[in-house]
Amino acid sequence: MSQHAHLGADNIAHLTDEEKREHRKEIREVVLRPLRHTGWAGWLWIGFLSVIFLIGCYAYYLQLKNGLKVTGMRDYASWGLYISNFIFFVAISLVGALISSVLRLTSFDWYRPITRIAEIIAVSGVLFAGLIIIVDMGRPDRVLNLFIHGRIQSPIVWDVIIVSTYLTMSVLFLYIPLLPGIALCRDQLTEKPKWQRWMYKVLALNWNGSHKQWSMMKKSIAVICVLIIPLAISIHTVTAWLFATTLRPGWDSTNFGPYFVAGAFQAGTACVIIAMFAFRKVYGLQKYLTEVHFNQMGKLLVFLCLIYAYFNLNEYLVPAYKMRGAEGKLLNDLFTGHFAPLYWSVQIFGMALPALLLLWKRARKPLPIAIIAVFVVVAAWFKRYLIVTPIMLHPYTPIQGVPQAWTIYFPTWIEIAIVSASLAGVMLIITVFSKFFPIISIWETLENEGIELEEMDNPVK
Amino acid sequence: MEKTHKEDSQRRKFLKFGLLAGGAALTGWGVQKKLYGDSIPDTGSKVKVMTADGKLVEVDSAHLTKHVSETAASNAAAREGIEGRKFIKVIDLAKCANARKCISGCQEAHNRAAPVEFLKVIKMQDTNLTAPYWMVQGCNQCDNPPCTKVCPVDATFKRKDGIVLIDNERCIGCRFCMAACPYGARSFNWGKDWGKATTGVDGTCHSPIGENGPVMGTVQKCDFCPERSLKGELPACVTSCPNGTIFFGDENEDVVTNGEDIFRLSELLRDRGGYRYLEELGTEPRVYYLPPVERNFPFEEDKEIHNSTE
Amino acid sequence: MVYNTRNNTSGISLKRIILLLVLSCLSVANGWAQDTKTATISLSYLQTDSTKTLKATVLSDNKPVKGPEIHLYVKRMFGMLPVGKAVATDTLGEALINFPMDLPGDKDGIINMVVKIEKDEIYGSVEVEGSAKWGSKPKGELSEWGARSLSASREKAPMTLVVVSIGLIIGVWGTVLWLIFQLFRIKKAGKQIKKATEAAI
Repeated sequence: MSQHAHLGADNIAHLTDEEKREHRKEIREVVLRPLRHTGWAGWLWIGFLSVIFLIGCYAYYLQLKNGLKVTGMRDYASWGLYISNFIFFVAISLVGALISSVLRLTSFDWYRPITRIAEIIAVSGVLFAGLIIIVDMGRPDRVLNLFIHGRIQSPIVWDVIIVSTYLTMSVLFLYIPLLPGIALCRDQLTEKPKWQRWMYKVLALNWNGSHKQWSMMKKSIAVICVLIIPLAISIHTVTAWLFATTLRPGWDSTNFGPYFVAGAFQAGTACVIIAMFAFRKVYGLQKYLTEVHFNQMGKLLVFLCLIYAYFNLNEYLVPAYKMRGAEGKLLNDLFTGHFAPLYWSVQIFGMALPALLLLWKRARKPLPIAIIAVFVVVAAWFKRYLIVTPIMLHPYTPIQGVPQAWTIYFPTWIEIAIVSASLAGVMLIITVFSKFFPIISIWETLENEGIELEEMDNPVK
Repeated sequence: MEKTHKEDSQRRKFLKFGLLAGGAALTGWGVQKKLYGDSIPDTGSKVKVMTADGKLVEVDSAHLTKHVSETAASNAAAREGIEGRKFIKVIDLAKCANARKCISGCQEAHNRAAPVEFLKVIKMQDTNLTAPYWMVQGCNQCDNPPCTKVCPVDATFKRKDGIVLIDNERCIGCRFCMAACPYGARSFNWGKDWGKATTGVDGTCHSPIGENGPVMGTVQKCDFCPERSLKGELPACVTSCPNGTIFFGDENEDVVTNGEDIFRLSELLRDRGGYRYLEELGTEPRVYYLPPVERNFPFEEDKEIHNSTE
Repeated sequence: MVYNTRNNTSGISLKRIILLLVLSCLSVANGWAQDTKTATISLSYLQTDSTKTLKATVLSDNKPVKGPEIHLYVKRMFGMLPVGKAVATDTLGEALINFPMDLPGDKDGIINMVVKIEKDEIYGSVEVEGSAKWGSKPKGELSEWGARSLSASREKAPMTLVVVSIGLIIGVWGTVLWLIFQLFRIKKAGKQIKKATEAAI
């Protein structure tokens, strides 16, 4: 792989061994610095996220005690913020497969420093997806029924199987390429407390860079690469089928699987851009997360926005041409009615405008692109809400004879608190991970520059 | 001396463990009970009852649950259904005058009150030029049910007598069936004792599996009153309607009745042009409607607002 | 004629005679009515290839009765279904009612029926029950119940779905197990080399 063009990397394969070792030392120092030292801003950030998370836990306790009536959901809008949040998390978790695997199978090596960021986003995203779906259950005390009495015909059972499979696979995909990094921590971070050094020792699996270990590790990565792409596509297709297998106007669409997957790649990529920007700024990783990387990610984001726009066109223009019955009322509500401001903001600021702006090279610099990526992610979150709740408020039969509160949906503070806690939890996991493990894959970055760590570890005598 | 010391400490360890385990179990049960158990306040009047092992104890009368059918069907039997029957409902839209007695009769039979309504009476107007009419809607007990397809734990299922039933002991409250039902027939118990009747009514009709009142965090709906059919009684909505709008019967017998009039099902549907709601969705409902022609009385708008508070 | 207006209770006045006459007539009529003749209905079932006919014979004191209307009802779960129109008996005391060819019976094809004379002037209400194997076979249970389908219970999942899911799960999780096994191998390989280097030292 290192024979291919290294975009943005100076090919330093021509350096002497001594110079290569210096280079490696430098990158190790930079990457390990955040593990060694956390500034006051870091502690503040972790504290802030923890507080939000704890408030959410208290809100969940209230929900357990009083039942789901503490939410804004009722018989018509029976799925609300929790489900749209669930889809959002599943969506962003696909980016792990996209960047770590799809790009790995291509010849674009520039992405390699980013793989770990993408993978930790994927792992924490899919983990919290699983947690938030339990929050949405009316009887979480009966969750074991899913395993004792599970019906293989149900899309929810497919989702449970595939989410747990993808989580396992993503953890492996995060862990296995991390082995050299853990070994590095084990060897270099000698000032850390005993329990942490013990953790590195155990997790490092006696890694010492031998040929045998490198080859086993690379082979495993290759296997996961191949397997995780269909898994990632399946996880979001099955999640889309939670809606597409119903008869409701607005969900009863054959387009839903690919529509969701396209949106997932777009939203996930924007998440990675934001994380890249944050880590680059806070951890001083300018040399390894270079402007070239942001440039490439920007081009990727344009491409994904355009694909997503294509699926949006199919999803909304075709039914709008026909304006069938209840679907017509729903579309009117989205285009010109109650949901119009939100709908058009999401489409314009989350998809159309980013795609246009990012065509301009100046917009693909780190700061502008990060800002645009924030818009994309926020719009993506609201887009998931627009996919779930408005449809439920437009059933075939007119809504009559029910309390006024049942004809609309607005989340209560408990729902907002729990959803915020889940978002805080995802960011907390990512932050804490970056404090214990190198957030840049050193060996892959070096490979990108033409240095094979395997050769360095096993010098031919 | 040493032996007794060892025995002592072992006994202590066992006791400690036992207490802890018991405490944990009690806490777990207590938490479960607190979250999902009985929340009826004591009335103060005690009743003497005999426990299973022959002891006489006094229980507050509020906590006595009166069971209608002491020979309650086992879970397996309730999942199979009544032998040889295929229940079917025919609703004569020419007769419905929005009396809403079906709604209150059903609520009474199932120990429910507002805002929970298993039946709805909706003002329908199919087009601008056609006349409005009142339409009674409940669960259609579809033969190709979209709800049983998606249930992850087999908590809702189709019986051989046509009824789609809910096992409130198994339901995990995911509400996928509610999303899947295009008729909006299902409702949810959003809190403890959600919509539980407060007038002390003991309904004659309980859903066969695990439902003696609302079960928090589970789904519920019209169930064609199988407990009443077992006794040879018509469902509560049929007998409550003052206009004889709802007909009920057995498709195998080819007969439906509203309590007063009795017809051959096939003749009724053929002569009166019976149809099913949202037929094109392919759900194969077991509720047929007779179009509102030659009505007994003209359509009247609603004079009051119904079910407006939670 | 001079009417005696005085309170004259002695003897039989005209008023009294009329009253007595009326009363006696009424009692006779009453006696007639109470004196309802008992009638019995016997049923016979006539069946050809294309017809089913119920013959009801009404006898009173072993003599055929002409006139009373016979009603036929079929017993159903929630009531009694009237079949055909009411037919009056002829001079032989017989009434023929056509039975529909396609009325379902119970699972053995048996129809339980009730034949009545309803509130007849002379004979009052009489009814008799009967049964015949005249029911067409009911369609039975829902034809799809118990078959493998997407809407059935978990044991009755469609075979293709079961096979494909199990296949996929085994394939993917088999790979996961292989990967975890690789991790163990990596660990072991590291230990071996460590031992080797330690031994060399």
